[in-house]
Amino acid sequence: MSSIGTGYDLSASTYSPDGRVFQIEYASKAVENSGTAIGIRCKDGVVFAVEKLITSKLHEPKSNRRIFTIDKHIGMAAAGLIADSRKIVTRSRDEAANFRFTLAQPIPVKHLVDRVSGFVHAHTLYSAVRPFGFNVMYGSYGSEGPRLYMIDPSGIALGYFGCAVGKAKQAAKTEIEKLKTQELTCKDAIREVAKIIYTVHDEVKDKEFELELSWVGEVTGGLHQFVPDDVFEDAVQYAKEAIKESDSEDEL
Amino acid sequence: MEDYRAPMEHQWSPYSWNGGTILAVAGEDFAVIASDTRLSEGFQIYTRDSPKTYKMSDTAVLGCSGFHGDVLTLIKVIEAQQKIYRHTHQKDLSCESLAQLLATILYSRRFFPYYTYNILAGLDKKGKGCVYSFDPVGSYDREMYRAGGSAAAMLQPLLDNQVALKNQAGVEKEPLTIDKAVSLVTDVFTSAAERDIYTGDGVKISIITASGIDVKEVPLRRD
Repeated sequence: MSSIGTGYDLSASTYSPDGRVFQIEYASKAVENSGTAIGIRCKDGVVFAVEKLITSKLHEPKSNRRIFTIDKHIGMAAAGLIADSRKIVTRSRDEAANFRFTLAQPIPVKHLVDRVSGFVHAHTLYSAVRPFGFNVMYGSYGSEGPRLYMIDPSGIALGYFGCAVGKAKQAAKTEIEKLKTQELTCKDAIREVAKIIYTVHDEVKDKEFELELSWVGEVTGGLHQFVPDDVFEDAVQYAKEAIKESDSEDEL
Repeated sequence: MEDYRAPMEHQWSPYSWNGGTILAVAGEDFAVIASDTRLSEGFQIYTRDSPKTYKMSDTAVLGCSGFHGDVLTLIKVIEAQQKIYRHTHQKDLSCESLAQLLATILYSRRFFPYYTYNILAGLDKKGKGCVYSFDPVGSYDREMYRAGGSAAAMLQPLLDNQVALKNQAGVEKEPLTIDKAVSLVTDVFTSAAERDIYTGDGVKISIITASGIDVKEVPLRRD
Protein backbone atom coordinates (compact mmCIF):
# COMPACT_ATOMS: atom_id res chain seq x y z
CA MET A 1 0.00 0.00 0.00
CA SER A 2 3.05 2.20 -0.41
CA SER A 3 2.54 5.30 -2.45
CA ILE A 4 3.95 8.79 -2.35
CA GLY A 5 1.56 11.58 -1.57
CA THR A 6 3.20 14.47 -3.33
CA GLY A 7 1.46 17.66 -2.39
CA TYR A 8 -0.73 16.15 0.30
CA ASP A 9 1.95 14.92 2.64
CA LEU A 10 3.48 18.09 4.03
CA SER A 11 1.41 18.34 7.21
CA ALA A 12 -0.77 16.20 9.41
CA SER A 13 -3.64 18.60 8.92
CA THR A 14 -4.02 17.69 5.23
CA TYR A 15 -6.04 14.83 3.75
CA SER A 16 -5.12 13.31 0.40
CA PRO A 17 -7.86 12.94 -2.23
CA ASP A 18 -8.19 9.27 -1.31
CA GLY A 19 -8.75 10.13 2.35
CA ARG A 20 -5.31 9.39 3.80
CA VAL A 21 -3.17 11.45 6.14
CA PHE A 22 0.30 10.69 4.82
CA GLN A 23 2.22 12.13 7.75
CA ILE A 24 0.77 9.45 10.01
CA GLU A 25 1.73 6.73 7.51
CA TYR A 26 5.25 8.13 7.26
CA ALA A 27 5.48 8.03 11.07
CA SER A 28 4.96 4.26 10.90
CA LYS A 29 7.97 4.03 8.58
CA ALA A 30 10.13 5.24 11.45
CA VAL A 31 9.02 2.20 13.41
CA GLU A 32 9.77 -0.20 10.58
CA ASN A 33 13.43 0.73 10.68
CA SER A 34 13.84 0.16 14.39
CA GLY A 35 14.99 -2.95 16.22
CA THR A 36 12.30 -5.60 16.72
CA ALA A 37 10.22 -5.64 19.88
CA ILE A 38 7.75 -8.37 20.82
CA GLY A 39 5.25 -8.91 23.58
CA ILE A 40 3.28 -12.02 24.52
CA ARG A 41 0.30 -12.28 26.84
CA CYS A 42 0.51 -15.69 28.40
CA LYS A 43 -1.51 -17.61 30.96
CA ASP A 44 -0.17 -15.86 34.04
CA GLY A 45 1.44 -12.64 32.83
CA VAL A 46 3.01 -10.66 29.99
CA VAL A 47 6.59 -10.89 28.68
CA PHE A 48 8.55 -8.40 26.55
CA ALA A 49 11.68 -8.91 24.47
CA VAL A 50 13.48 -6.15 22.59
CA GLU A 51 16.30 -6.38 20.05
CA LYS A 52 18.33 -3.31 20.90
CA LEU A 53 20.64 -2.65 17.94
CA ILE A 54 24.05 -1.37 18.93
CA THR A 55 25.87 0.92 16.57
CA SER A 56 28.88 1.76 18.73
CA LYS A 57 31.62 -0.41 20.20
CA LEU A 58 31.70 1.97 23.14
CA HIS A 59 28.09 1.28 24.06
CA GLU A 60 27.56 0.60 27.78
CA PRO A 61 25.40 -2.49 28.36
CA LYS A 62 21.97 -1.87 29.91
CA SER A 63 22.01 1.78 28.86
CA ASN A 64 19.53 3.35 26.43
CA ARG A 65 16.79 1.01 27.58
CA ARG A 66 13.78 0.37 25.41
CA ILE A 67 11.68 -1.23 28.12
CA PHE A 68 10.23 0.97 30.86
CA THR A 69 8.20 0.60 34.03
CA ILE A 70 5.08 2.74 34.34
CA ASP A 71 3.91 2.56 37.97
CA LYS A 72 4.67 -0.72 39.72
CA HIS A 73 2.37 -3.01 37.81
CA ILE A 74 2.69 -1.87 34.18
CA GLY A 75 5.55 -2.39 31.76
CA MET A 76 6.10 -0.68 28.42
CA ALA A 77 8.23 -1.66 25.42
CA ALA A 78 8.94 0.83 22.65
CA ALA A 79 9.93 0.60 18.99
CA GLY A 80 10.64 3.48 16.63
CA LEU A 81 11.99 6.91 17.51
CA ILE A 82 13.18 6.33 21.05
CA ALA A 83 13.28 10.04 21.88
CA ASP A 84 9.57 10.21 21.08
CA SER A 85 8.88 7.18 23.23
CA ARG A 86 10.65 8.83 26.20
CA LYS A 87 8.02 11.56 26.09
CA ILE A 88 5.23 9.02 26.20
CA VAL A 89 6.91 7.26 29.12
CA THR A 90 6.77 10.50 31.13
CA ARG A 91 3.18 11.08 30.08
CA SER A 92 2.17 7.52 31.05
CA ARG A 93 3.87 7.82 34.42
CA ASP A 94 2.10 11.14 35.04
CA GLU A 95 -1.27 9.62 34.15
CA ALA A 96 -0.67 6.66 36.44
CA ALA A 97 0.52 8.85 39.33
CA ASN A 98 -2.37 11.23 38.91
CA PHE A 99 -4.84 8.33 39.00
CA ARG A 100 -3.30 7.13 42.24
CA PHE A 101 -3.47 10.66 43.63
CA THR A 102 -7.18 11.09 43.02
CA LEU A 103 -8.38 7.54 43.56
CA ALA A 104 -5.83 5.85 45.87
CA GLN A 105 -5.73 2.94 43.42
CA PRO A 106 -3.27 1.61 40.79
CA ILE A 107 -4.43 2.60 37.31
CA PRO A 108 -6.06 -0.22 35.32
CA VAL A 109 -3.91 -0.65 32.20
CA LYS A 110 -6.94 -0.41 29.91
CA HIS A 111 -7.69 3.06 31.26
CA LEU A 112 -4.04 4.12 30.97
CA VAL A 113 -3.91 3.00 27.36
CA ASP A 114 -7.15 4.88 26.71
CA ARG A 115 -5.66 8.09 28.08
CA VAL A 116 -2.28 7.75 26.37
CA SER A 117 -3.76 6.84 22.99
CA GLY A 118 -5.85 10.03 23.17
CA PHE A 119 -2.65 11.98 23.74
CA VAL A 120 -0.93 10.28 20.80
CA HIS A 121 -3.96 10.89 18.60
CA ALA A 122 -4.01 14.58 19.53
CA HIS A 123 -0.61 14.92 17.87
CA THR A 124 -2.09 13.84 14.55
CA LEU A 125 -4.57 16.69 14.35
CA TYR A 126 -2.41 19.77 13.92
CA SER A 127 0.26 21.04 11.58
CA ALA A 128 2.08 22.65 14.50
CA VAL A 129 3.22 19.27 15.86
CA ARG A 130 4.26 16.05 14.18
CA PRO A 131 2.81 12.60 14.91
CA PHE A 132 4.83 10.41 17.29
CA GLY A 133 7.16 7.97 15.54
CA PHE A 134 6.70 4.92 17.73
CA ASN A 135 4.67 1.82 18.49
CA VAL A 136 4.47 1.21 22.22
CA MET A 137 3.27 -1.94 23.95
CA TYR A 138 1.84 -1.95 27.46
CA GLY A 139 1.74 -5.09 29.59
CA SER A 140 0.22 -5.59 33.02
CA TYR A 141 -0.99 -8.29 35.42
CA GLY A 142 -3.75 -6.81 37.52
CA SER A 143 -7.13 -7.73 38.93
CA GLU A 144 -8.40 -8.52 35.41
CA GLY A 145 -5.48 -10.88 34.75
CA PRO A 146 -2.72 -10.46 32.14
CA ARG A 147 -3.28 -7.73 29.54
CA LEU A 148 -1.23 -6.59 26.52
CA TYR A 149 -2.01 -3.49 24.46
CA MET A 150 -0.28 -1.62 21.64
CA ILE A 151 -0.59 2.01 20.52
CA ASP A 152 0.47 3.04 17.01
CA PRO A 153 1.34 6.53 15.67
CA SER A 154 -2.25 7.20 14.66
CA GLY A 155 -3.38 6.77 18.24
CA ILE A 156 -5.18 3.47 17.66
CA ALA A 157 -4.92 1.14 20.66
CA LEU A 158 -5.77 -2.54 20.49
CA GLY A 159 -5.47 -5.48 22.85
CA TYR A 160 -3.36 -8.48 21.86
CA PHE A 161 -2.35 -11.98 22.81
CA GLY A 162 0.88 -11.55 20.86
CA CYS A 163 2.42 -8.50 19.25
CA ALA A 164 5.52 -7.70 17.18
CA VAL A 165 6.87 -4.41 15.85
CA GLY A 166 10.02 -3.19 14.12
CA LYS A 167 12.33 -4.50 11.43
CA ALA A 168 11.46 -8.16 11.61
CA LYS A 169 7.86 -7.88 12.70
CA GLN A 170 6.54 -10.15 9.97
CA ALA A 171 8.96 -12.95 10.78
CA ALA A 172 8.41 -12.45 14.52
CA LYS A 173 4.63 -12.54 14.09
CA THR A 174 4.90 -15.81 12.22
CA GLU A 175 6.95 -17.28 15.06
CA ILE A 176 4.52 -16.03 17.70
CA GLU A 177 1.60 -17.54 15.83
CA LYS A 178 3.27 -20.95 16.09
CA LEU A 179 3.03 -20.73 19.88
CA LYS A 180 -0.05 -21.56 21.96
CA THR A 181 0.29 -18.38 23.99
CA GLN A 182 -2.65 -19.09 26.27
CA GLU A 183 -1.04 -22.32 27.47
CA LEU A 184 2.38 -20.85 28.20
CA THR A 185 3.45 -19.63 31.61
CA CYS A 186 5.73 -16.60 31.90
CA LYS A 187 8.68 -18.88 32.59
CA ASP A 188 8.11 -20.71 29.29
CA ALA A 189 7.24 -17.60 27.34
CA ILE A 190 10.37 -15.69 28.37
CA ARG A 191 12.54 -18.35 26.73
CA GLU A 192 10.36 -18.35 23.63
CA VAL A 193 10.54 -14.59 23.12
CA ALA A 194 14.31 -14.64 23.57
CA LYS A 195 14.49 -17.37 20.97
CA ILE A 196 12.29 -15.41 18.55
CA ILE A 197 14.48 -12.32 18.85
CA TYR A 198 17.62 -14.34 18.19
CA THR A 199 15.91 -16.12 15.29
CA VAL A 200 14.66 -13.02 13.49
CA HIS A 201 17.81 -10.96 14.08
CA ASP A 202 19.53 -10.27 10.78
CA GLU A 203 23.20 -11.25 11.19
CA VAL A 204 24.18 -9.73 7.90
CA LYS A 205 22.56 -6.31 7.97
CA ASP A 206 22.69 -5.60 11.72
CA LYS A 207 25.79 -6.75 13.52
CA GLU A 208 25.56 -6.32 17.26
CA PHE A 209 22.47 -6.29 19.40
CA GLU A 210 21.68 -6.35 23.10
CA LEU A 211 18.67 -8.31 24.24
CA GLU A 212 16.28 -6.77 26.78
CA LEU A 213 13.86 -9.07 28.58
CA SER A 214 11.18 -8.13 31.06
CA TRP A 215 8.06 -9.64 32.55
CA VAL A 216 5.08 -8.91 34.76
CA GLY A 217 2.89 -11.64 36.18
CA GLU A 218 2.26 -14.25 38.82
CA VAL A 219 6.00 -14.96 38.91
CA THR A 220 6.79 -11.37 39.98
CA GLY A 221 3.76 -10.88 42.21
CA GLY A 222 2.24 -8.43 39.76
CA LEU A 223 5.32 -6.16 39.57
CA HIS A 224 6.95 -5.28 36.26
CA GLN A 225 10.66 -6.21 36.35
CA PHE A 226 13.62 -6.90 34.11
CA VAL A 227 14.20 -10.65 34.36
CA PRO A 228 16.77 -11.82 36.94
CA ASP A 229 20.25 -12.66 35.63
CA ASP A 230 19.83 -16.44 35.92
CA VAL A 231 16.56 -16.40 33.99
CA PHE A 232 18.18 -14.14 31.39
CA GLU A 233 21.17 -16.47 30.95
CA ASP A 234 18.89 -19.47 30.67
CA ALA A 235 16.70 -17.79 28.06
CA VAL A 236 19.71 -16.69 25.99
CA GLN A 237 21.17 -20.17 26.10
CA TYR A 238 17.86 -21.68 25.02
CA ALA A 239 17.73 -19.15 22.17
CA LYS A 240 21.28 -19.82 21.00
CA GLU A 241 20.80 -23.56 21.07
CA ALA A 242 17.59 -23.26 19.09
CA ILE A 243 19.40 -21.28 16.39
CA LYS A 244 22.23 -23.80 16.26
CA GLU A 245 19.75 -26.60 15.75
CA SER A 246 17.91 -24.82 12.99
CA ASP A 247 21.24 -23.81 11.39
CA SER A 248 22.43 -27.39 11.39
CA GLU A 249 19.06 -28.47 9.99
CA ASP A 250 19.57 -26.00 7.15
CA GLU A 251 23.02 -27.40 6.47
CA LEU A 252 21.63 -30.90 6.20
CA MET B 1 -31.86 61.87 70.50
CA GLU B 2 -28.23 60.77 70.03
CA ASP B 3 -27.27 57.21 69.25
CA TYR B 4 -24.86 55.94 71.92
CA ARG B 5 -24.44 52.45 70.48
CA ALA B 6 -20.95 51.23 69.51
CA PRO B 7 -20.25 51.10 65.73
CA MET B 8 -21.06 47.67 64.19
CA GLU B 9 -19.57 46.57 60.94
CA HIS B 10 -21.89 44.43 58.83
CA GLN B 11 -20.60 42.05 56.22
CA TRP B 12 -22.56 39.54 54.13
CA SER B 13 -21.37 35.93 54.63
CA PRO B 14 -21.53 33.32 51.89
CA TYR B 15 -21.89 30.64 54.56
CA SER B 16 -24.51 29.77 57.16
CA TRP B 17 -24.72 27.02 59.75
CA ASN B 18 -27.62 24.59 59.37
CA GLY B 19 -26.76 22.27 62.25
CA GLY B 20 -26.88 18.50 62.15
CA THR B 21 -24.85 15.79 63.80
CA ILE B 22 -23.39 12.72 62.13
CA LEU B 23 -21.80 9.62 63.57
CA ALA B 24 -20.24 6.44 62.20
CA VAL B 25 -18.88 3.23 63.74
CA ALA B 26 -17.01 0.42 61.95
CA GLY B 27 -17.33 -3.21 62.97
CA GLU B 28 -15.48 -6.29 61.75
CA ASP B 29 -17.70 -6.89 58.71
CA PHE B 30 -20.20 -4.03 58.92
CA ALA B 31 -20.39 -0.27 59.34
CA VAL B 32 -23.07 1.89 60.92
CA ILE B 33 -23.62 5.55 60.03
CA ALA B 34 -26.29 7.79 61.51
CA SER B 35 -27.43 11.40 61.37
CA ASP B 36 -30.13 13.45 62.99
CA THR B 37 -32.87 14.77 60.71
CA ARG B 38 -33.25 18.37 61.86
CA LEU B 39 -32.38 21.25 59.49
CA SER B 40 -32.16 24.62 61.22
CA GLU B 41 -30.71 28.12 61.12
CA GLY B 42 -30.28 30.04 64.36
CA PHE B 43 -33.34 29.35 66.54
CA GLN B 44 -35.47 28.44 63.53
CA ILE B 45 -36.18 24.94 62.33
CA TYR B 46 -36.50 24.62 58.54
CA THR B 47 -37.63 21.02 58.64
CA ARG B 48 -37.64 18.03 60.96
CA ASP B 49 -37.10 15.59 58.09
CA SER B 50 -33.77 16.32 56.42
CA PRO B 51 -31.34 13.40 56.92
CA LYS B 52 -27.68 14.12 56.41
CA THR B 53 -26.63 10.71 55.10
CA TYR B 54 -26.38 10.05 51.37
CA LYS B 55 -26.00 6.64 49.76
CA MET B 56 -23.00 6.50 47.44
CA SER B 57 -23.10 2.81 46.50
CA ASP B 58 -24.05 -0.59 47.90
CA THR B 59 -20.94 -0.44 50.06
CA ALA B 60 -20.61 3.25 50.99
CA VAL B 61 -22.73 5.93 52.67
CA LEU B 62 -21.57 9.53 53.11
CA GLY B 63 -22.65 11.65 56.06
CA CYS B 64 -22.41 15.35 55.31
CA SER B 65 -23.32 18.24 57.66
CA GLY B 66 -22.60 21.95 58.17
CA PHE B 67 -23.75 24.47 55.58
CA HIS B 68 -26.60 22.83 53.70
CA GLY B 69 -25.92 24.71 50.46
CA ASP B 70 -22.40 23.31 50.28
CA VAL B 71 -23.65 19.87 51.37
CA LEU B 72 -26.02 19.69 48.40
CA THR B 73 -23.42 20.95 45.93
CA LEU B 74 -20.73 18.62 47.23
CA ILE B 75 -23.06 15.63 46.90
CA LYS B 76 -23.86 16.68 43.34
CA VAL B 77 -20.16 16.91 42.45
CA ILE B 78 -19.33 13.54 44.00
CA GLU B 79 -22.24 11.81 42.30
CA ALA B 80 -21.23 13.28 38.94
CA GLN B 81 -17.68 11.98 39.35
CA GLN B 82 -19.01 8.59 40.42
CA LYS B 83 -21.10 8.44 37.27
CA ILE B 84 -18.04 9.10 35.10
CA TYR B 85 -16.08 6.40 36.94
CA ARG B 86 -18.91 3.88 36.52
CA HIS B 87 -19.17 4.60 32.80
CA THR B 88 -15.40 4.37 32.32
CA HIS B 89 -14.61 1.37 34.50
CA GLN B 90 -17.89 -0.59 34.59
CA LYS B 91 -17.78 -0.85 38.36
CA ASP B 92 -18.39 1.11 41.56
CA LEU B 93 -15.75 3.11 43.40
CA SER B 94 -14.33 1.30 46.40
CA CYS B 95 -14.56 3.02 49.79
CA GLU B 96 -10.83 3.78 49.81
CA SER B 97 -10.98 5.39 46.38
CA LEU B 98 -14.14 7.34 47.24
CA ALA B 99 -12.37 8.74 50.30
CA GLN B 100 -9.37 9.85 48.27
CA LEU B 101 -11.66 11.37 45.65
CA LEU B 102 -13.60 13.31 48.27
CA ALA B 103 -10.35 14.63 49.74
CA THR B 104 -9.27 15.86 46.30
CA ILE B 105 -12.61 17.55 45.67
CA LEU B 106 -12.52 19.27 49.07
CA TYR B 107 -8.93 20.47 48.61
CA SER B 108 -9.70 21.85 45.17
CA ARG B 109 -11.69 24.47 47.09
CA ARG B 110 -8.89 25.16 49.57
CA PHE B 111 -9.31 28.93 49.26
CA PHE B 112 -13.12 29.03 49.39
CA PRO B 113 -13.92 25.81 51.25
CA TYR B 114 -16.95 23.60 51.22
CA TYR B 115 -18.27 24.30 54.73
CA THR B 116 -19.04 20.65 55.33
CA TYR B 117 -18.08 18.04 57.89
CA ASN B 118 -17.91 14.68 56.16
CA ILE B 119 -17.82 11.12 57.38
CA LEU B 120 -17.73 8.22 54.93
CA ALA B 121 -18.69 4.76 56.16
CA GLY B 122 -18.88 1.39 54.45
CA LEU B 123 -17.01 -1.78 53.59
CA ASP B 124 -13.45 -1.71 52.25
CA LYS B 125 -12.18 -3.80 49.34
CA LYS B 126 -11.62 -6.73 51.67
CA GLY B 127 -15.17 -6.54 53.10
CA LYS B 128 -14.14 -5.10 56.44
CA GLY B 129 -15.99 -2.17 58.04
CA CYS B 130 -14.37 1.22 57.53
CA VAL B 131 -14.95 4.83 58.56
CA TYR B 132 -13.18 7.80 56.97
CA SER B 133 -13.53 11.28 58.51
CA PHE B 134 -12.65 14.58 56.84
CA ASP B 135 -12.14 18.22 57.68
CA PRO B 136 -13.63 20.93 55.44
CA VAL B 137 -10.51 21.09 53.21
CA GLY B 138 -9.95 17.39 52.73
CA SER B 139 -7.60 16.22 55.47
CA TYR B 140 -8.72 12.65 56.16
CA ASP B 141 -8.00 9.53 58.13
CA ARG B 142 -9.39 6.04 58.48
CA GLU B 143 -10.79 5.33 61.94
CA MET B 144 -12.97 2.88 63.82
CA TYR B 145 -15.53 5.50 64.87
CA ARG B 146 -16.06 9.25 64.53
CA ALA B 147 -18.69 11.85 65.43
CA GLY B 148 -19.03 14.99 63.32
CA GLY B 149 -21.09 18.14 63.04
CA SER B 150 -22.96 20.05 65.69
CA ALA B 151 -22.80 17.73 68.73
CA ALA B 152 -19.48 16.09 67.80
CA ALA B 153 -17.71 17.36 70.92
CA MET B 154 -20.40 15.77 73.10
CA LEU B 155 -20.44 12.41 71.31
CA GLN B 156 -16.79 11.75 70.51
CA PRO B 157 -15.62 11.36 74.16
CA LEU B 158 -18.53 9.02 74.84
CA LEU B 159 -17.54 6.85 71.88
CA ASP B 160 -13.91 6.83 73.06
CA ASN B 161 -15.15 5.35 76.30
CA GLN B 162 -17.79 2.95 74.97
CA VAL B 163 -16.36 1.74 71.65
CA ALA B 164 -12.60 1.87 72.24
CA LEU B 165 -13.05 1.25 75.98
CA LYS B 166 -10.63 4.07 76.81
CA ASN B 167 -9.99 4.99 80.44
CA GLN B 168 -11.74 1.88 81.63
CA ALA B 169 -9.76 -0.45 83.83
CA GLY B 170 -10.16 -4.24 83.68
CA VAL B 171 -12.83 -4.41 80.98
CA GLU B 172 -12.84 -7.30 78.50
CA LYS B 173 -12.84 -6.17 74.89
CA GLU B 174 -15.65 -7.99 73.08
CA PRO B 175 -16.14 -7.72 69.33
CA LEU B 176 -18.75 -5.10 68.46
CA THR B 177 -22.00 -6.57 67.13
CA ILE B 178 -24.45 -4.75 64.88
CA ASP B 179 -27.16 -4.68 67.58
CA LYS B 180 -24.80 -3.24 70.17
CA ALA B 181 -23.57 -0.63 67.72
CA VAL B 182 -27.13 0.42 66.80
CA SER B 183 -28.26 0.66 70.43
CA LEU B 184 -25.14 2.69 71.27
CA VAL B 185 -25.80 5.07 68.38
CA THR B 186 -29.44 5.49 69.43
CA ASP B 187 -28.40 6.22 73.03
CA VAL B 188 -25.76 8.81 72.13
CA PHE B 189 -28.11 10.67 69.81
CA THR B 190 -30.78 10.75 72.51
CA SER B 191 -28.20 12.28 74.86
CA ALA B 192 -27.06 14.82 72.27
CA ALA B 193 -30.66 15.93 71.64
CA GLU B 194 -30.99 16.75 75.33
CA ARG B 195 -28.27 19.37 75.33
CA ASP B 196 -27.59 20.50 71.75
CA ILE B 197 -30.26 22.78 70.30
CA TYR B 198 -29.35 21.89 66.73
CA THR B 199 -29.76 18.13 67.23
CA GLY B 200 -33.17 16.51 67.52
CA ASP B 201 -36.43 15.52 65.75
CA GLY B 202 -35.20 12.11 64.58
CA VAL B 203 -32.19 9.95 63.81
CA LYS B 204 -31.70 7.92 60.63
CA ILE B 205 -29.35 4.95 60.99
CA SER B 206 -27.86 3.10 57.99
CA ILE B 207 -26.34 -0.34 58.59
CA ILE B 208 -23.98 -1.41 55.79
CA THR B 209 -23.21 -5.11 55.39
CA ALA B 210 -22.28 -7.45 52.57
CA SER B 211 -26.01 -8.16 52.09
CA GLY B 212 -26.86 -4.50 51.54
CA ILE B 213 -27.91 -1.39 53.45
CA ASP B 214 -30.53 -1.57 56.19
CA VAL B 215 -32.16 1.65 57.42
CA LYS B 216 -33.72 2.39 60.83
CA GLU B 217 -35.46 5.60 61.90
CA VAL B 218 -35.82 6.51 65.57
CA PRO B 219 -37.65 9.63 66.82
CA LEU B 220 -35.87 12.20 69.03
CA ARG B 221 -36.93 15.18 71.16
CA ARG B 222 -38.57 17.86 69.08
CA ASP B 223 -37.74 20.82 71.32
